[in-house]
Amino acid sequence: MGLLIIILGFFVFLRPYYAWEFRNAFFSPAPPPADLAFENKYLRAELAKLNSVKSALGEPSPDLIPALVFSRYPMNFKEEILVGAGRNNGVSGGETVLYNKMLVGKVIKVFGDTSLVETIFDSRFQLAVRVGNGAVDALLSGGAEPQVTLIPGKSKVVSGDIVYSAAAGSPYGLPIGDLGVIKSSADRLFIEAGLNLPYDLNEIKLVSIVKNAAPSD
Amino acid sequence: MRHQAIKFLEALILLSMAVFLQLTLGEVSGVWINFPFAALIALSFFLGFWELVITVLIAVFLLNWQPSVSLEMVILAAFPLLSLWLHKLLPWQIWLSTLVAIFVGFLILYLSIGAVLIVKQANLFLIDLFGGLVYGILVSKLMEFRK
Repeated sequence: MGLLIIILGFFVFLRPYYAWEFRNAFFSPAPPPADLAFENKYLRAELAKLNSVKSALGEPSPDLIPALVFSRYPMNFKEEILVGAGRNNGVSGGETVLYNKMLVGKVIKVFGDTSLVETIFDSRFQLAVRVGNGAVDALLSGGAEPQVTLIPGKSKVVSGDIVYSAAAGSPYGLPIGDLGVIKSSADRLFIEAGLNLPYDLNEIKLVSIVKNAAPSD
Repeated sequence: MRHQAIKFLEALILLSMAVFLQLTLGEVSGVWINFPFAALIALSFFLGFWELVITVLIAVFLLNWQPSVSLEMVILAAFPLLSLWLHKLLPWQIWLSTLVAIFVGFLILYLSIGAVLIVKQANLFLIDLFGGLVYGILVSKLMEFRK
């Protein structure tokens, strides 16, 4: 019994990545069927999947660190993901994280080989953004259904306008999503809207971390 | 001895099912129901201290999403161990004590980590609590059957 506890303690504290691999195995694709015709279809599907991964990464850039998603926060309180790039890969904390070239979150904690990313689906997430061609200032408030808030009441924005980043410490102009249905805020001074996104958190398996600019001397 | 081993094995299966359910439902629906927490609290009424420590470590290993200690995992590990001692103080039948312990456990978890969520997204809290209570009572009845 004591030995079992020591072994389990070793895995819990020193080898947690075995559990992430185990968790990912729950959702791994089924093995290819033996029949050649079916196998051909399976391989074509695999190729399509790899191509989609390639397009998600885009052209290799020295300013981007690609990272696989290892695990996801398993409760209702937060929407965080753990990605496979950390201090050893040049991540220092606070970096913007992209999925398919769209802003999806920011690095909030850095470990040796992994980093914790707070996504726009987390209720604590907030980011200064601009909306549409008029570059109207607004605030993105995270949540299960992210909202674009504090849009000045008299501004000319319409549903479908692009929402993009405009916050200090984050590259300017990164697309986040489209403006959804517009309504007045409770105090009627501002307008607000939902955010239409072309993806959901479940499908994010690979992200790119935008490297922080090196401090100038 | 053999009876004890079977009981422990049964506890491990029920815990594994709880972890599987939480991860599967969470990944698919985005709503995470804390079945393992409820299972651990219910199991604390039937297992010995060291057996419970092992099940708690397995749950933490499978659920921890980051390579450091978090308050969520501390509560997930500590409350069932506290409940091991607490249930001796509860005067009711096991199933009722289990329900009360699970309710208190979930309340502590939410108040410690996401008190705002209880108000802002009460439906999430209620779904989580309801799922936990149902799974907890199921674990309790199955373990009682074996007792």
